[in-house]
Amino acid sequence: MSIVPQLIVNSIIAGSIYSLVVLGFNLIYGTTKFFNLAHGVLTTIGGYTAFYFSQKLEWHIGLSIVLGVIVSGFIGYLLDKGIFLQLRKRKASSMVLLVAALGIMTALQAIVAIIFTSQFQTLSSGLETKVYDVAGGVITNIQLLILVSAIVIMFGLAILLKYTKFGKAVRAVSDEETVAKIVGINTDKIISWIFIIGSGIAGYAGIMVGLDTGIEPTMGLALLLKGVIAAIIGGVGSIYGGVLGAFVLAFIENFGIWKISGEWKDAIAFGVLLIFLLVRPQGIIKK
Amino acid sequence: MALCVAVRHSSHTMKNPKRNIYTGIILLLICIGVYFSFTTSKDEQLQVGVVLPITGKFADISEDVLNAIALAKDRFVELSVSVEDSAGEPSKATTALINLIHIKKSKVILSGPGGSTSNTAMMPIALKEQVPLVAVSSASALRGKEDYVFTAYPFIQAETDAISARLTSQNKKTVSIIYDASSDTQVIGVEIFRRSFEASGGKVILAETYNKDIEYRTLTSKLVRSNPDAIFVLAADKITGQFVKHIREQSYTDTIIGFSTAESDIFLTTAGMYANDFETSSAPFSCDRNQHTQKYCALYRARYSKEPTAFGAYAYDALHLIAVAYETCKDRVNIGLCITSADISTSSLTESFSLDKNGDLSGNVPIHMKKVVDGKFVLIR
Repeated sequence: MSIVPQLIVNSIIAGSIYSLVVLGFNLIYGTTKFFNLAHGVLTTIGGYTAFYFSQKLEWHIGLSIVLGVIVSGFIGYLLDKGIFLQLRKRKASSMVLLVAALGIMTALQAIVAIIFTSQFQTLSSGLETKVYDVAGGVITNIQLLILVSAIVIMFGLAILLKYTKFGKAVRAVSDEETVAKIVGINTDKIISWIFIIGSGIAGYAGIMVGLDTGIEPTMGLALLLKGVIAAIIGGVGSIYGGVLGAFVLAFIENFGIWKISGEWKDAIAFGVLLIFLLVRPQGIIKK
Repeated sequence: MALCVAVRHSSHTMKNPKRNIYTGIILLLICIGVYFSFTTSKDEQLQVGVVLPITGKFADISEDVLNAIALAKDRFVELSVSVEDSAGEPSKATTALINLIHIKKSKVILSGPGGSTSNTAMMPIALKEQVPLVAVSSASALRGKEDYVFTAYPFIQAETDAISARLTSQNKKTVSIIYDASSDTQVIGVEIFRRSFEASGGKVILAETYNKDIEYRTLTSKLVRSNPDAIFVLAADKITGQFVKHIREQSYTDTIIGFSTAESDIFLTTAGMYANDFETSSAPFSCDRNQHTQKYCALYRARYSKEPTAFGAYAYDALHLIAVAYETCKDRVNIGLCITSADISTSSLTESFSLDKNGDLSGNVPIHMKKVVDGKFVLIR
């Protein structure tokens, strides 16, 4: 039996996971123009919040997922209000914001490890896993959920940004924050909402990874790295570009290790990143 | 004691309350000093440094080891234990070792498990500094180093031979393997297994390597699509669980076998409903084996509300060995000379815990095979 159908399915699953990370990341970057490295730890927070409610308090998994998304969004809001907004007000450079985000990521990751220990946990215990055969490749119900939700969130965000008043305000802030302020847009409020939505999506990504494989305090960094690579490949700040980059990365990674050893997977990912930085730094779709 | 009673009496009789308080405090301090002079003083304790991967990819394993060390500290009061984190990385492990030797003045070092490369990186420093290093590790590079480097975990060959014999007994002719190429122990384990299995008429048809990642689907697809009679996973419990889950999701129904690092609750949690029928070699530790193991397990469960693992038991035995060596020698300059000759075999938690003349856990350690049945590891008879 050929391995190709399974590799395609694997690539689609991996691409969906990367998409969930890059959607929130690109949304925040597209509006604020800074690399929010703290985005990674929000996936961890989402995963652990859902874990706490579903496994420790034994609440319904659906409710736990919703709470995970809300808590991640709220933490994202607090980070913006408490740290990033203050730094922006002081005209901090992108480098300062980047370092602050890295510090936040490290600190929150440590706090999660202290509260929940470094031990690997899973969100799927008690859930029934169903396996479907799709043209010679297998996919589980949870992986299907990841794929469908990545598509739904992508189109949801695109509609939100293109057809709503809020979306127009976001685009205005993204294009020129000062002008947006002059025309009466409350830019701080818009950016706060962007952080809430982007962080909520990150939290959802962490929950989906938790359902598919499991969670651990350091999971955010690995997800963030893949998300950032996908963003650069697809086009930083672009919703469609990010998703396209996620799937391109996933297909290259998974087909790349078809004939060579699996330990080269990260080297392949970073090799692709370097090629894009050299040849097409604006990514596939320029925002 | 009489002095202390006198203090109490005198404080009642004295007129000046301020003076009474000062006198009371001074005499109280004297009482405390007298009390501690009758207990083991810090100077009489042997400073033992512990280097463990408390963070990083082997952090899961260290939790049980830290618990076991805490229990050992309560029992072996002659040991004063300081712990440093290696994060499972050679550079951090060597820094931790140097801190322990030069700042904490540790006279003996206990290291591992988790990260054979870290343990191997510490070895030259231990030899140079002439500080005994007792490694709960199966890394081959640590073996045969006599006076200053000791291994207190079964050599991986004992496990791979047991796994090879098990697969041969099941008439498995082809095996695909997955392992971590950055682990010295696993690289050597694969080679030893290959020799042993192929000598028995079997064939390794695929040896795949991995790096720590979010998921391992494509690697497991390669294993499954190579159509082996069995899949051998050399990885820590968490990653083994993920491999087993991915492999079973792809409808592979034949034998999946792993080694002792997989035998834990973490594996069962990670693999979930796919854990059943997974087979593993098992380090010789069982709570029911004798009164010592029963007592240890009862204490462990009472304090930590979870099951102890073999890693913790080996770390506990290693500290026990150091304590006996220290009692025997009282030679704080080179306690290493006494470690090899120290004997705890009658009271150790793990079976046949004795070091050979090279200071390594002897080769005739009995390795059992276990299988997951109804979500629990059970011995294969």
